[in-house]
Amino acid sequence: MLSEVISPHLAAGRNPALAGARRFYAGVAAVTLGIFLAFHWVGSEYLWFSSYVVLQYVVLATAWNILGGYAGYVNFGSAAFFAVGSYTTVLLYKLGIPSLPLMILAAGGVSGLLGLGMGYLTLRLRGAYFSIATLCLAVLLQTIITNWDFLGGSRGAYIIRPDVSGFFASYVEVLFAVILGLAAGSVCLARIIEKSKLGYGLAAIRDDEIAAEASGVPTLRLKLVATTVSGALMGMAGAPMPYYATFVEPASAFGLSYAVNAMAMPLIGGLKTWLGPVIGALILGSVQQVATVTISSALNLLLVGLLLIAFLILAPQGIMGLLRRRGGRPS
Amino acid sequence: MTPASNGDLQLAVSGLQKRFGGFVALSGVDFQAKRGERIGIIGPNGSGKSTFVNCLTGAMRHDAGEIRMNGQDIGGLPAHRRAWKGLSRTFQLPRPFGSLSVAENIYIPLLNCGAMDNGSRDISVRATAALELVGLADKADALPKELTQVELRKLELAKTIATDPQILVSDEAMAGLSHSEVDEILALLLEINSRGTTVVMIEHIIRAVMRFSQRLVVFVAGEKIADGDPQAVMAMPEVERAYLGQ
Repeated sequence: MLSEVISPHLAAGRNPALAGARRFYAGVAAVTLGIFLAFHWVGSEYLWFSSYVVLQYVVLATAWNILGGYAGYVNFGSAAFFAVGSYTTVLLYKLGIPSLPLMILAAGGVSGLLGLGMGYLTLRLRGAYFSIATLCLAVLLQTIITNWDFLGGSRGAYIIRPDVSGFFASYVEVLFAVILGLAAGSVCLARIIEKSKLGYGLAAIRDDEIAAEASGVPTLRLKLVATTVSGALMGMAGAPMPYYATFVEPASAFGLSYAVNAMAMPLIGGLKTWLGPVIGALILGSVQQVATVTISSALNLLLVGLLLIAFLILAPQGIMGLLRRRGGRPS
Repeated sequence: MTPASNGDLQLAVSGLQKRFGGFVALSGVDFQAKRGERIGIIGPNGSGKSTFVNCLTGAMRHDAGEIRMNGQDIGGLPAHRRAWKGLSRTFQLPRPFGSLSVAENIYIPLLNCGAMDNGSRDISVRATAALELVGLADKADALPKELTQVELRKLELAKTIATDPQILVSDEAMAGLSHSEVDEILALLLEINSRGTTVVMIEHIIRAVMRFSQRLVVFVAGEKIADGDPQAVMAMPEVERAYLGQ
């Protein structure tokens, strides 16, 4: 089903697009490898530690944008998907299966299923009603986790990091490499979707769902694909978190900052392309990291709020919209 | 596709019913269309014309009745599947995809229900052809919000033409347009019909309906009160009563 929906829109023989895609993947690979090697060369524990958070937000913002930006369905419950990813890791850890790749895959699977469930909400709920339902979903899941003793309940759960040897300087660098890979992967996925039949279909849904149906767009199927992919990526973003923090508890795993950032970053960067959430996450994520050490960590959400208001007033199309206007093309 | 039992009967609606709460919008409407026919549907406001279009094309679910296209029951299919089968519609108020360019607006139907019979042809070629036909080729890169009202109507038509539909249901494509603009749209609909598409035109502008239709159907209060030769139908006292009162 997925391959049928995602099949590239351009018929055979349109080489510029294929060449563009190849150049894009090469670029992503080069940037990813470059960042990894540069950071390895610097060898600063703090750099890995703080960059992890920024990259985690690249994944989260990109995932949110696949549903929120491309299809126009605003998900207020990103934190729930993220937390479900984190707690899938905790579950596997408690079950004695401490394999991070497996945890990431499992987290993607569980959160993807949750996303699929959320997708069926779109049958009846649109606009603000859908968003409120996603918020309720987050509250519901937090209540379940808080009362699930095996996963630590409200006390939380401790995770012990494995030892590392060989190339990696520390486990934090391993985690950094993992999240860097996830970020690169989700950006590639977002671009594939954007340029495909699926991406066009989602854009049609965003603009006018009834007209999309009349044009032959199987709206429900496409929305289900979008909610599933978006949810799965969010869960995968949350999967390494327990190892990063070595401690997970419901209030922070379901933290408001995940939900707010996942929305604010694409909004600030720009909603319609894969690049928007990346730019938004890099800027907003970095600003928050700097603010955490220089001013206070409690100030972060206030900063996000102020930036969001400023952008909504001054640049409603986000940074990408500003750039496009500079480029002369009216947006 | 199984051939219709009745020769070239392409669309057969029988006993179509739709209720909104206690209000009966359609009470058992029968309707047939032959391949390549041009049919006009008229009726006062609230007579159920748009509800008929919505139920026919799947935007709304009907409560009872049967819709057959080429002998196949399509009444249970969602709107997009009916579009895949070649049952296409335009909206009374143009519904363009606002964030996509005019050309990309045509890509949506082409990607989803076009390119079926001649799949090898490039999608942008087909989009350009459709835009050329309606005279919007030079606006291909514009956004819908930059178009005039009549251009938006043409875009609506281009979205359906691009896929070579079997049946086109045009829901008041001419409402609010000037005399010459009505003629432009009328010429377009005739052109589409000449390419083999059955056209069902819902319209208030009697001048256009009379020029266009080979057969005229009149709806009043959710019922079909007349169906036949346009001149004869217009002369019927019931039709006159519905329009002019007594």
